[in-house]
Amino acid sequence: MIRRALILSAVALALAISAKAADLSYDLTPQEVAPGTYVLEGTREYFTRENGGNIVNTAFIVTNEGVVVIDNGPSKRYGEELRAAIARVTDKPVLRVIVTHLHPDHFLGGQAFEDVPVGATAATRAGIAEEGTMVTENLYRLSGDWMRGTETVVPSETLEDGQVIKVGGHTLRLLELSGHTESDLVVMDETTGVLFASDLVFHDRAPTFPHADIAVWLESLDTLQALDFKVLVPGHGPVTRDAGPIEQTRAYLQWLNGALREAAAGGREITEVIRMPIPPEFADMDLVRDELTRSVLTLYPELARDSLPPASN
Amino acid sequence: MRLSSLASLALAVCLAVSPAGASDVTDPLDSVVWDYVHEQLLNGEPVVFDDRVQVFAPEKVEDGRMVPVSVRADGIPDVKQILVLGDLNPIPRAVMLEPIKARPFIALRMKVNEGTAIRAAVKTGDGVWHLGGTVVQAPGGGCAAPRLVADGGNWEDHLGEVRARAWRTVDGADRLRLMIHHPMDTGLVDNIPEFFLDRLTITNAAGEEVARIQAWSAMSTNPVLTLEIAPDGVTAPGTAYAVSGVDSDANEVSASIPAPSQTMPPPPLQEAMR
Repeated sequence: MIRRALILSAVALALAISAKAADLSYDLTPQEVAPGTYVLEGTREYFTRENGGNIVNTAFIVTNEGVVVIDNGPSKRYGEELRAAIARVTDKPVLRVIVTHLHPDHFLGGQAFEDVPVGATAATRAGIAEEGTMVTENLYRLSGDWMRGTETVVPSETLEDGQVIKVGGHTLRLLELSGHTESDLVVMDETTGVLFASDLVFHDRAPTFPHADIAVWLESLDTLQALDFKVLVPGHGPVTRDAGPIEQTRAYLQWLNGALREAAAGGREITEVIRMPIPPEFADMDLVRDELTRSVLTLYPELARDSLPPASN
Repeated sequence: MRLSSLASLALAVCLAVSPAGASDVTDPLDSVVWDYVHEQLLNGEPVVFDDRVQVFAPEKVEDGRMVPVSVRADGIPDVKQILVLGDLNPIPRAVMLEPIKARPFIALRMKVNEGTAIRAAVKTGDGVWHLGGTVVQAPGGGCAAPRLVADGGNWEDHLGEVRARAWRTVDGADRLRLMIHHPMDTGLVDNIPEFFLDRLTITNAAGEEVARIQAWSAMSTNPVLTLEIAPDGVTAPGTAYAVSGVDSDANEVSASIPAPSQTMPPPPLQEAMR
């Protein structure tokens, strides 16, 4: 009796879940930010089972010859929907994909682009090969059914710092910087003046630090700000026509860096540091308290260790 | 209808495994193993859930190998022990402080094997455990995963080394922070046997033991501890605290922490946070 009820419940549950899976859609809407240049802006949230990981900006450039895609999203489903969104804009073929760095919201749509070259720096390719499976598993846990069928695809070709890609009337200059991760690939479209800044730039959404080096990141922001761009596409948050997001990211990094060092010198433990007040200028950034906690857990242990001198007899 | 059948089945299962003689006290953290915690870890002794026992930990962590936890039990007189534990851990106890002349405060970093209630059990002189706690969400495997850090694989070169410093608090206590190099192996990973820092004693220059600590392998690799020695136990200016300890293989730990030369400002906490 109970067993039959259980089986029926399980069947009903399975039906409910599959019906829900069929309804999942990211509703990707490309916004044209410059001639032929489209950005798909994600929400300023963390991975959830509601957003399915659509928390990231991806982009594509429609050139005379075909389409260049910059980052392919957080899941197989996203990659497929991105490809469909491109096809709604143009009937030109996708020529290539550029993956900016090794974080999973930027490369896990790779299965939808296995028929074209997918480029990333050597360090990013190695990082994805090494950590891809682990981060993919983590996203299954965070995003749930949106991830169905998603597997890590290691980018198929290596892109170099300073490389210039001339394609369909566009000149794309690649800069390999670092600081957000060991290798952050920035794409400067010299034809349109659009700077695809990767996750070196966040806008109205707190930066993340799982592979970060703040001092190096700050240098990279100076490099970015010196570039001659008209449109700035951050890795997360709205597109702008000024350097505001670079300045916001820089100010946050400088505050965080100083606050963590001060806390370590003052004998604070992690449980206190994650509760420290956040300056008003950053209080409206989405996820700022959550990301502060994550960044303290990542960055503080080493600072705390260095604040303690050797004491052994 | 189906759901209610399921619910009654679940209820029946829960009732069936509920041990006899379980505590009558309702656990505010609603932990499934509260009865076990009470009977086995607190010896079935009298307990009271007490808001003065403040336990702070992040609501969620991405790596169960390092969960920062701090406990403060100000206002509870005659504290004899503070035990910090994770209900669902295979090694539930992480640390036990005897705050002989220390404040009823400890901060540490511990492993959790899954999302769990983290508790502090504060035992007073009358034999009652005063309990506080919080719940941490975590992915699985913090006790059964390889070490978070292992000194580049050369932990043997640094085994038992201590880094430490004291700060004077604005109200006259000495905050001591210690990091002890130790792998803190749980015995649950790759056939590596359990191997952990076992005990530490802190003595002031007057020869008074001011705090004793018992540790378990559920503390994170290279344990970091924060304590506060009460004003009547602080070591004299120009002297040092002596730290002595031993690990589970009888390796000795010996260090000294000079009296503080600097006063730390009061903690700039966001008061709205739990």
